[in-house]
Amino acid sequence: METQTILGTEMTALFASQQHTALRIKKASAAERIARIIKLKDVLTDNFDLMLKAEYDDYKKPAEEAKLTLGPIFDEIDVAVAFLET
Amino acid sequence: MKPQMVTTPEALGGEAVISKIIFEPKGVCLFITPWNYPFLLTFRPLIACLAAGNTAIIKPSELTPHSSALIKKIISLTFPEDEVSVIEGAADVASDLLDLPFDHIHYTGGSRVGKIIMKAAANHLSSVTLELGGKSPVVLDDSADFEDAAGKIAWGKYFNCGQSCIAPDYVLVSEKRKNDFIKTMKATIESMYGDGGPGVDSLTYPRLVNAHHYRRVKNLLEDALENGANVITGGTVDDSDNYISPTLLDNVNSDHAIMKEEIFGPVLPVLTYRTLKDAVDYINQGERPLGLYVFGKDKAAIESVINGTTAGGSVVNHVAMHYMSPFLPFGGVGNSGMGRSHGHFGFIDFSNQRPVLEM
Repeated sequence: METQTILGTEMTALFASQQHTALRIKKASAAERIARIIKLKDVLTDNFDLMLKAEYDDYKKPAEEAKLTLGPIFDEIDVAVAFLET
Repeated sequence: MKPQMVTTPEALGGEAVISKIIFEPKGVCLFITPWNYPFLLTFRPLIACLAAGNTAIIKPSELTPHSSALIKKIISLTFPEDEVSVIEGAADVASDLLDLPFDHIHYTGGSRVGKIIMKAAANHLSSVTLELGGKSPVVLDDSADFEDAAGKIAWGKYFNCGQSCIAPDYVLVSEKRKNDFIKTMKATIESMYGDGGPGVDSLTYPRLVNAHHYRRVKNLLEDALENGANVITGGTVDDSDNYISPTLLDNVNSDHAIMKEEIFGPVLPVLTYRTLKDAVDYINQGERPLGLYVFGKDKAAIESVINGTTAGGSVVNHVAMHYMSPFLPFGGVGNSGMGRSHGHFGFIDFSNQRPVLEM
């Protein structure tokens, strides 16, 4: 399976763009941070079965084991959201 | 998220002055994530990073390309790339990334590469979280319920084909109860995986991730057998599919290669001790482990092991379960890592705790 890598110059440009964004989102409210995390949760949920398949394709990890190891991601999201809401 | 208000000493003005700690994001964070739990060990720490208000660049492992490609897709569906992005590639890509002045680096993997990461971070004085590994022992006190312990040890050891940083690496049991434990453990493993192991065609048992790691674990097993160890159950290997069955080893000693590095595979050596203090001394001769697990009903015995050793985390009467709680700090100590993850502790790790004194 081929992966796409990027050149050092592109990497540097990406890093610079993130530095700029980091200054902007530093002031993000708790609600904005929660929204980003919830969006990630939604995309993870939509791709749940694909995550199980990818781990199987990589080293035959059975779905039952993979499901157990994805659970703590969602627990972490719930705890982070609850923390940011306080 | 809210500033934390603290007491102001009288010498600085007492109640007339406000003392608070504000939690600032560190800035741009780098994640170099492993192959053994590609999604869990990427997304779980990323959540704390996002909660703290940072941006992130993720370099997932090239050894699990299907998972890495999906991580990239999930991130690109969720975030603009100036907030969170994924760069795929091997060690050369990681090396190029480490030349950049990240504000924080989160690495999960082995101690050897952890040292490389820390050296690179030093060039920019970037802070680091290093989630490493080590030889996590299980200590069985004579007061332990061996049947209960065997089931939990087998689950923790052979889950993910032993490729877990918090998996039990080896078991220490007293000389007088070793035979009881070996017998119980053998029966437990064969009950869980069958008399001959799960088999090379099994769809319910993972493989070693690639031929390199398979050969490493196989070599450790063969070295032990050539030097006097013997297989109690398991020991089946298949080069064509990186398969090693759940294996229990007896007559292992500290000189064997398998006791000199983290096994990170489905082979469990059993060693013996005369007194619990001997077990504690043995553990303390090695690097500080990521996990240390104690089984027993005798509270004084358990405390003597916990208080006599240092480890990243411990579980009494189970293994590895401390990882599951978002309310406990997770991480290593010394050779097994630094920094703390999960829940509030992860938030703190990705934050600059900035004191503000309003006089």
